[in-house]
Amino acid sequence: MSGARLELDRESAGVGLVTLVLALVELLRQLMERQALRRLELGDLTPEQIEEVGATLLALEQRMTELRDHFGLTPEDLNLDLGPLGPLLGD
Amino acid sequence: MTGEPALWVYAVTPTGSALPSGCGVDGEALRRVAHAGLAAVVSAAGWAGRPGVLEQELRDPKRLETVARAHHEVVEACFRSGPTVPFRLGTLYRSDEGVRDLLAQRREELATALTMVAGRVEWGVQAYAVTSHDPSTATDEPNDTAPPGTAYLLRRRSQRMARERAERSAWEAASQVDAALTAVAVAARSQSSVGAAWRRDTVGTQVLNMSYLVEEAAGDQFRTIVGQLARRYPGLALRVTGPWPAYSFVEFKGGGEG
Amino acid sequence: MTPAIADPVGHHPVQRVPLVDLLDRVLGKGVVVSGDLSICIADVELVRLSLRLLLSSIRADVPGVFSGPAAQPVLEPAAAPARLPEGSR
Repeated sequence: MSGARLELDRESAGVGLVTLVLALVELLRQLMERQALRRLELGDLTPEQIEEVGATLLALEQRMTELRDHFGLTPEDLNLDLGPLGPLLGD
Repeated sequence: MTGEPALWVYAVTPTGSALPSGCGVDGEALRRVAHAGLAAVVSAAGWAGRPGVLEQELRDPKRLETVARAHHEVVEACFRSGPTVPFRLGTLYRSDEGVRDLLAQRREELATALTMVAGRVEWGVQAYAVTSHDPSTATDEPNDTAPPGTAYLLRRRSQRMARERAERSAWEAASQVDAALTAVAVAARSQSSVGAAWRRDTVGTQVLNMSYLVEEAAGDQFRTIVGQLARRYPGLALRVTGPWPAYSFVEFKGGGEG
Repeated sequence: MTPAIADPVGHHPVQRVPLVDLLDRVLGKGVVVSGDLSICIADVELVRLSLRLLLSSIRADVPGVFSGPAAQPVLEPAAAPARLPEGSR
């Protein structure tokens, strides 16, 4: 695993900028994926559209994995804790 | 003591109860203000006398922890020596007279509350839906024939559906747990999760956060039942805390300017 | 996964009480009885606290993406982390 590891500790290092950016990208990715699944359920996409959306989301997921690995972050590292609002990306 | 005079109220007990040894928030001495058979345990809290100071100070997590633990230590000490109506953080009065007014005006409710909590303790029970973090749990729909993007979406869909099914059954299990525990408790209350900001150790979605008022002598039986429920519902992780003073079973209607 | 039950805490030194559960109980929906100095510790205050902690904890020494030369590295290894005090878990 390449790249320096970000230590997440709110007492000193805090949440780094990269982590914040990737957390937000991941949030968007999950929202888009959820929306795509909803459209899939509704059945109003053509097979070609399904494939295009799916391929894009697949590529996005792979890219996120690469970025996380590069910066030494786990999926849990991106699940920022918003206190009473719960974790950013859900449980 | 700085600021306007203020008294921090910890709990109300019958006048016969012993005053706890030890001290209160910020090491202030404890004393009692008594009226008509009831006694409020108080200490000086001049720092909180000006409006807004308490809220301001409690925004600091370390200060909040210090104050909360000091408050609880007094409540616990009262609770060990007899029936105790615990107060939550931040009940402040300007003077002994104000406290006596409280005891006089709320006499009925306080006496009833003391009867309700005498010989009983509060147990906190939480249940979490045990979630698997392994994303590749989907087993159906071999996707050899589907193009990769479509296969990905189908895989995601079945994972999502499996997660939702698991969560639904966790909620159902939680309500079974609640029903079983309520049956052996004097009372049950849904527990507010204001401490969620500091919660770090969850194993999954919280599907139950309850407090149960239980006869003090029935503590072992209660814990045994929780153990049995944990075995019956392997999809839940159960967590028990207590015994607590009956914080959650004391409620007063219409608190206002005293 | 075997379900876990925490050992009940029992009558113990107060420092061992789990802070999270204590706060659930002593904060609640504000005061049970309002004293004549009425205060209300609402959930809103805690939300603000958490959001502020999140925002203010973005490291000040990390250069912003809109400032400085593009080649400036955004990532720096952190100092040895201090663990949160045990009582606050």
